[in-house]
Amino acid sequence: MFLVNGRDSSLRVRESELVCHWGVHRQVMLESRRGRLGGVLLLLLVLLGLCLVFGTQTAVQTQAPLPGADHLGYDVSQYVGEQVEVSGVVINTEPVVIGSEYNYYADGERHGGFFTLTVRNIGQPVAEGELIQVYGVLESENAMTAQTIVVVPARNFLYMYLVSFLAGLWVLGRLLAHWRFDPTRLAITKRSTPVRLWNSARSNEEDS
Amino acid sequence: MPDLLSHAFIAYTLCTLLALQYEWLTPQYVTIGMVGAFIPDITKIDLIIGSNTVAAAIDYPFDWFAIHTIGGAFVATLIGVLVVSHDERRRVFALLALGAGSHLLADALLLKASGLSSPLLWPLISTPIPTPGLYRSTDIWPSIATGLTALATWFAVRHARSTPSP
Repeated sequence: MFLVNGRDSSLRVRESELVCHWGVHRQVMLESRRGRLGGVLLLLLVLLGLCLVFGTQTAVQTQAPLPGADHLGYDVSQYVGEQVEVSGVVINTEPVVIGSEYNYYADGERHGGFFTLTVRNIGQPVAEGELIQVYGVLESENAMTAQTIVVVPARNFLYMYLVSFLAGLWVLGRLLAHWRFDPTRLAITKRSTPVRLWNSARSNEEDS
Repeated sequence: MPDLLSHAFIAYTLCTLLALQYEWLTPQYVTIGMVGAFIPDITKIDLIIGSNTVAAAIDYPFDWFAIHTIGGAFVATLIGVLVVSHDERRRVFALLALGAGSHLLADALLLKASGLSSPLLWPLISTPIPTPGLYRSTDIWPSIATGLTALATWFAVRHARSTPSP
């Protein structure tokens, strides 16, 4: 593109033409509506493919490194004597019994249900209705011995969902203010001047 | 996982600090880092269309949680890279990856009864990785701590910018 002063100028020009040619080529591949749309669809397929591969590894039919409620719901008998990690709601305190929901996919259908597990050796007082995560050995098909438990304050779930929603609004607001969608290129491009909520509010006040 | 607000605060803080080093990293790019912090939680589609519902429909095992791993988050990041103009792609890749990486790292520290986190490094490492268990996903204090850090960073960087360098 640029003429270079000096003895090697012809060579340099040829080199830069080559670079430029490749640059244009790449730009066409991934900048056109078609190229971009095709690329995104391809990557979406790859992502869904990963969900399939990952799904075969976490499937209840596969021996899990750390079986949870879904695995026990599918076939509790094969995990007796094994280390398991189960989350459930405390439904009785003497003895401690937790109730867990499970769901899994098998034979072309979605299966779901609820089972109870007596938890021995829990080591700390728990209250009915509390959500706890228990790690320990599954002693029988309906009892386990706890090694560690984590109490999950169920009240805080509302807080978690609320602030996560606010975070979504915050980042979405920033994205819309700073970047825009260009329908002709099917691209997201940087705004040359970001929309500034506070400044425009202030200038409106000055106008009135 | 900690709430999304904590993840957004962490990404904001990291990007704002990096902006001290890289002049091109304007607030517009900080936003990209924050969007990146949301990538792994695309897995929450599960709350709307359950993994097992999809699996039953296609009659094949399926788990949205793949997006909450380093492999899935990488592919999702590439989608983000593809939708921007070619001259923005390197920056957008770096920032989306930083945001998504910070999200996975923060989730790798969550308290679990077993002391094992989820297989966040899949497909590099398929087994759950050990976690130091610093906080629970429903704890309130991480969002307050990360929020105060983000606020302090915003203030400090603003001050550093307005003070002419010697």
